[in-house]
Amino acid sequence: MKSFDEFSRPLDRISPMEKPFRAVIRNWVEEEVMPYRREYDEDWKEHRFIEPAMEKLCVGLGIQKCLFPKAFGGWGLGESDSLAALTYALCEEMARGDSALSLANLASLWSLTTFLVKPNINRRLAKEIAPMFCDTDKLCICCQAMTEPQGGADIENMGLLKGRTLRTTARLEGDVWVINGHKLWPTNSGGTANLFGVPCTTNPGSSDPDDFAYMMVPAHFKGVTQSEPYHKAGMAADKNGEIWFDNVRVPSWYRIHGPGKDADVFKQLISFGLLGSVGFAMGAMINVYEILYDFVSGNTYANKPLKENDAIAGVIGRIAGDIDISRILSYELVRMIDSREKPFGNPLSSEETIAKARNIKDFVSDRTVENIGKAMDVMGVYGSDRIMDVEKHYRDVKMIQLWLGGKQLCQAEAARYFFNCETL
Amino acid sequence: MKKDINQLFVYPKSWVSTETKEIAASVRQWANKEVIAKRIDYQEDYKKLFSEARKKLAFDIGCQGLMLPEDSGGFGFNRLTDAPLLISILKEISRADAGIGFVHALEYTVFSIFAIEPVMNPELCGKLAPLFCSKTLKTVSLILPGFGKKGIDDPLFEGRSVRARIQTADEKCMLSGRDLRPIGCGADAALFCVICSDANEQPCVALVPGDSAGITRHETIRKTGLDGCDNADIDFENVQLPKENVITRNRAAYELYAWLNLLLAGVSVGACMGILEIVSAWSGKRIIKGKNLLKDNPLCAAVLADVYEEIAIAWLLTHNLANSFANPGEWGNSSSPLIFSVSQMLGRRVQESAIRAINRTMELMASEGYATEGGVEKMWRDVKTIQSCLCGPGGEVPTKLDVAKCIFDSQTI
Ligand SMILES: Cc1cc2nc3c(=O)[nH]c(=O)nc-3n(C[C@H](O)[C@H](O)[C@H](O)COP(=O)(O)OP(=O)(O)OC[C@H]3O[C@@H](n4cnc5c(N)ncnc54)[C@H](O)[C@@H]3O)c2cc1C
Repeated sequence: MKSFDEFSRPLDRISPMEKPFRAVIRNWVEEEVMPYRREYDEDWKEHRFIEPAMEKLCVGLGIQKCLFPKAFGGWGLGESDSLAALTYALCEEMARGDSALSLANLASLWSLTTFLVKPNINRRLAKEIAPMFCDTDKLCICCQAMTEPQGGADIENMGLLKGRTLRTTARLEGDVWVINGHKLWPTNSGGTANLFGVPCTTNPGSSDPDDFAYMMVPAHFKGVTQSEPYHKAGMAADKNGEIWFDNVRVPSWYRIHGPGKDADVFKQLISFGLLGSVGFAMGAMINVYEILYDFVSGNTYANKPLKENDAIAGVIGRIAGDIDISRILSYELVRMIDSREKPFGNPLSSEETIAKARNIKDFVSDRTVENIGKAMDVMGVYGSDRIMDVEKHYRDVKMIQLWLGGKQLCQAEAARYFFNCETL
Repeated sequence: MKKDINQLFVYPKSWVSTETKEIAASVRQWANKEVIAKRIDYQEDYKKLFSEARKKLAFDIGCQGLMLPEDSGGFGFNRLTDAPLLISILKEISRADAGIGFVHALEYTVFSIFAIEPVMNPELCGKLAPLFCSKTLKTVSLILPGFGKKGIDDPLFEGRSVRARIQTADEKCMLSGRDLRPIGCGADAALFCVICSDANEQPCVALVPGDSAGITRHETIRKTGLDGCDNADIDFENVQLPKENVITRNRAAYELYAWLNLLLAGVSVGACMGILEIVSAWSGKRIIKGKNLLKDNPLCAAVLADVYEEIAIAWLLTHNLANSFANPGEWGNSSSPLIFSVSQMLGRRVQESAIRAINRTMELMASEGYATEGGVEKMWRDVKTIQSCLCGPGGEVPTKLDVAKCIFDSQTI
């Protein structure tokens, strides 16, 4: 194998844009992330190293406007048939450098997919919000704030609970929505975000999809407060904290679509989140492969390079094999999402897509946690050393397994679809 | 958790004596008072409170120097029959903070080759004990054979490169070696214990006071866990040692591996006991699916059972191993090929179980498990650091090959 680019990809299907797009992002990673990433852990609160890198990506390279229609100053990626392919490539390339940075970037685009991605483009809202992202030389970040103190998994468990546990409320007063509630943990909170995507309920305790509302809430609006970020095991390039909405008044058209469709689009959002998750996991695994390659080639056991010992080869062979299989699965998820409107595709909100997407995310994130842990062990006393650039990935990727409702929700949703379970 | 955690594991009661239980109970009091009761402050001001808690444990309870003979100023827990006691103490310490447990596990590992009967060396004890019987905190660092570099043929210890060399002339020995990576505590160790090779490329063990001339400590390493235990690479440049500081006893290096695996198993099991308490409290108050307690959801309850199962297995394996150390007449002492292999095998298995238990706990606790405030992620980082450090070059492979050599007489591996 000449380079990590040879991990399997469906070369007959990938977009012609993917190669040059990956090259640009890879170059940014080499210049803006790799030289500084070992300092990210200590930078978790200030983001002195992290923010300039994000700025170069989002403003310098223009990523923050990529989803907006061309007519409003964006790239029109939301209307592209290769949206998932390019999003995946972006996540993977970025996560090779740092999965939290990749997460922070994707999460910013994530919430915007609710009204900027076909077939759900809301042009009025797009036009209203576009200047914040497209007509500026400042970093503009969005945050998808769904998790609440009583639990994140239930809010994402739309199949069963259909928004019933949401406590953040939206009340219509004339032509403004008044929002009240408390969210915690979302990526790009802790003072980072300029705009929030907020799932709420217009009728607390209801599981009627018409009562599920998704609001865009600018961070500077009166009544929005944010806490300091939390400290956590890894993912330092992502700030997570609490947000309070206290009688926040937003124009009525800041509700992304309206009764029924908001709930449907929220389910689609989950599929995009799962796609990003496998991208982060794959990027981290690929980088660990690169590091491990050098390590097992240059270090010895019984005076022979580690990789030339049959038993050690058995371990590292399995690691590389798992990366390859996970890559194949990840591109299957890309295919599923990019064919959402094709005759052979399924809508992203379908039970089938959600179950299969959750399945792939669960599988790939498990393999990632296990293999990066194994790589640390192969590196013995050096495995836990920050300078080897593996242990940080280990701490970061654990969260990929846990978010979006966690492992058990993935299992429950897979069972619900594949076995037609009725009460899970 | 309504039940006393020590009543949750089924094992032959004879494995843990009443005296052991009493001493362990006093360590437990320390853990509850000095660490667990102030967990949030402890995490926020870790470096300071880590050393304050260590001081109380080391001097008020007497855990530093515990294993040194009484006539050298220690507490005299230096018989093989004390192995279950050492494990019980390390478990109780690590239930609160695996970092403190780790410091003591390294100390006891190194003491095992010169302070414990029947290999007790009164001369060395007399010389080294004062270092540890004073009222200042001390750490011990252990340097094992490990990775070699491509193109360089090193003397080998069971396939691992021995990169420290000892030369002997008259009554003096000289130790050399560059860029050696200790298991831990290299940055501030008062005593280094180094497996090195002699002129005949045979392994021996050098005990090197930390203030000896010719020692260079590199920068402190930033690592996954064990935050309070500062490690650093070490150079020994012609470090002069009296001859008695070099232990040439046959298979002493093997003993170190056996003890290290046993004692670090105790540390990781202790961390898991802390985890069991945390996840038990969490699952008894967290609501999922809008109405049920997490522990009453069958899928989550099954995960909880997995967590307990992993910990219970690790607990049993650790105490079983401690008892075999305590009864050398039955299976051989810690230097025997069987105990050397089995202690590594069980040690590895315990670390695997521990990390699996914590990983599964984090699944159930989601963001709370990942947040520093939740108290779980620290244990996860600490145990992972221990697990990787215990691995030889190539992960689990060297240990497995040692087992194959012992059990199946594999000869050319
Ligand atoms: C780095 C990071 C980034 C994040 N980014 C975002 C973000 O961008 N937006 C956002 O809103 N949130 C975000 N979160 C929060 C995250 O998505 C939630 O933590 C996660 O969804 C789980 O919610 P919870 O922590 O409240 O756990 P809970 O909802 O309390 O769930 C705990 C556990 O209960 C079990 N469980 C839950 N439901 C079921 C079920 N139906 N069946 C069986 N078992 C079940 C699972 O084991 C689960 O892990 C982020 C968190 C972190 C740490």
